[in-house]
Amino acid sequence: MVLLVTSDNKNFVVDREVADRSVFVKNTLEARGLSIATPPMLNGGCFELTSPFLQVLEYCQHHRGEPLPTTDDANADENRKRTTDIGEWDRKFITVDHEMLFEIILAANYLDIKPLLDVGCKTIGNMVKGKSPEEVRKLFDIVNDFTPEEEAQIKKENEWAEDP
Amino acid sequence: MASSHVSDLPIELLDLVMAYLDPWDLLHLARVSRWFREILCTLKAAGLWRQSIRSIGLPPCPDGMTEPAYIAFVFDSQYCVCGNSPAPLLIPQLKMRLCAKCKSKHVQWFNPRAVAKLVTPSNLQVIATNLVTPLLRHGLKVPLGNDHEMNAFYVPELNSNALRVSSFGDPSIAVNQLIKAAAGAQSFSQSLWEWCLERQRARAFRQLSSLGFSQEIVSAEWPNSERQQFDQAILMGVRDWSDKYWNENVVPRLLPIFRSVEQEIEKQKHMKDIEARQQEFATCSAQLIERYKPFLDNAALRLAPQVQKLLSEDDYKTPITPERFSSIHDELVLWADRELAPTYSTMADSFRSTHRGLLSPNTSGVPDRELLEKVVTMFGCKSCKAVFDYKSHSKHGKECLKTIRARAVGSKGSEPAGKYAVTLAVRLLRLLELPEDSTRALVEETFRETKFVCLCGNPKFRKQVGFFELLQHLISENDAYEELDSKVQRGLKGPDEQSICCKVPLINDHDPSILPSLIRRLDPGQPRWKFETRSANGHGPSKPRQAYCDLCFQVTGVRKFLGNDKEFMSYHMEAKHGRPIM
Repeated sequence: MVLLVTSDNKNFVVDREVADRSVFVKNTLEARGLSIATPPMLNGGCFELTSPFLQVLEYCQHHRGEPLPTTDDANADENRKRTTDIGEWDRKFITVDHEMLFEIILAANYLDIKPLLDVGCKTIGNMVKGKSPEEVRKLFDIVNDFTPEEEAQIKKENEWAEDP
Repeated sequence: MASSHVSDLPIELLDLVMAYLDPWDLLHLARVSRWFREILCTLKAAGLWRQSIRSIGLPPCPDGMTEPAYIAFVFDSQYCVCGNSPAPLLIPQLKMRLCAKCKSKHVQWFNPRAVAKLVTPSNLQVIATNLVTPLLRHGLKVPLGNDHEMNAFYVPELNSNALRVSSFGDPSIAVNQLIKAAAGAQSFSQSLWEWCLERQRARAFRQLSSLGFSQEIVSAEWPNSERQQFDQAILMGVRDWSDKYWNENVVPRLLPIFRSVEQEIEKQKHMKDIEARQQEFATCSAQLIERYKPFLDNAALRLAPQVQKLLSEDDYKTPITPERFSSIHDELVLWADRELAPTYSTMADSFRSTHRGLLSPNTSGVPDRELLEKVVTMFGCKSCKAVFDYKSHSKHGKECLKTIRARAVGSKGSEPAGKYAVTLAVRLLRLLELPEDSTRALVEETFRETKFVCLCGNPKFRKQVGFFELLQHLISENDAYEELDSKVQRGLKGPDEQSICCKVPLINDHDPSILPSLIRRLDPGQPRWKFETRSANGHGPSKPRQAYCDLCFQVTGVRKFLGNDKEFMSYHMEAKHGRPIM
């Protein structure tokens, strides 16, 4: 068993198998030579809220025992990224509000849980797909900060902007 | 560090998200806000665009264009260069979208290969300085090829690319560069059109599949006219890739084309089904015809319409099931049994009555020459055969014919008809005229292998016996003989022990069916039996030495042939008949 402590001092006791879904946790445990009973401290300041971490743990719990992505899988990234299909359980799992979705993505990124990160990114990608700029603005509550003239010009030009 | 907004996501995570987007989604995202534009419309993001373009199979971005501009050129029809109207017309050669007005006003088409052919030292300068539009205006007829061969030049104010090329100085270089540039534009144009066509085609099939059209349409052989209409219709979608435009403008044009193709496919399938079903019933008919062939020569003619009659309309519309086929087959068999068999039965009865005389020595029925010839050809000696070959007019021939004919009807003196091969053969052949394929085949086969004694007196045929075996084969095929045989047996073992020889209808009573049972009585085992038919001097008509039962006219004494003419073992029918030899 492994005790995980979030930055807001919430304790989570999980199986080693579940904790190992996170490459970050796995490497930390292995690098420090800790026994499996020793609680690692996740004090990176990532988790101010317990809620996304609970979600992440639920994901790891569900996918425990599945093979972790290897470096060979990285070669298949090109194809993987084009496939936006999400499994049934993952789709239900990730059906949360935008705020929670972003939190989960950030947590997955920090804890280095690649499959969960993919699910989150695919979900956002699917939300954006096929939407007009105006619909995207409405979706993510983004303010259109272009002037009408700029907007018309952008549509005509489509040139590279100068690097800042 | 809680994140509640998409813009709060780190750029590297946003890159991961955008890697899942299609090019037009990236274009839309780049138009959402300054922040997104700064992320997407920089050279750093070029890789992301290229990857997205590759992922949908779109030809790579051509030189002289940025990736966002390329995507806007292909997918965004909002603005024409005139700035006043949407630009539905995609012109890959120019890498532009134009409205119809601008296209007709500013675009000139020419065929670079045709222009290259027109170039001569004398007009090189003229072509280089005036180039396309003036070239056409001045009446130099430039033949146009197909779409992919043609190139377009945009000449807004006669100071465009075309004229810039002409200012290179050396006219030949200018013209060559023009032609070279045109060839490059052609290649890009062709690959882009092919991509558009393929993508729209897949979109059309996907869309219409959702409307209930079968998937077979995709792989079906389309008529050329429908294929052309389809291609024209789907290319309308290139004007505006939006689903709204597609559903309102393209799909209504596609529907009738698809209906037409679907009808054609259904028609072809129906025709194939009919052919398959006809083949099935042809096989069925052939089987039935084979079965009833002995009944009627025209069985096939009568079966065919009956097959058609049994088939219902539904049988032609839906694939026929094995159960249905079996049902029709059974109906057909029943019909054939009912309709064809009685006809045969009538024929058989008629035949028997007509040829009754042949089977009785007391009637005047004489086999015709054709039948006799057949018999003699099969069973007769060489001399007899010759009668029918060419010597029937000779003395010997006439005698032979007379003898044979007489013996065929069993009217040769007091000799019982049943003993002569010719007589038996005639009767057998009459039997063979009747159906029962298996019997006929078996008998014919046996006939081929067995030679019979010719009773015309030719000594060369004395020892050739095989008649019993032949008849036994025939017996085994006919149950009716069993009954007769049992009657004979009952007669032998009847209540009256003194009744030595049973009285049953015999050969002389013109029932051919009795023959086998009688012969069975004569030959219960399988020894090689032979009639002792040798005449005293070995020549002329045989004078059988055996005695005959005066009741049954059967041989009452034969000798077992041991392979040596001199060694005959006496054999009496006494044991079987229960009475001494007469």
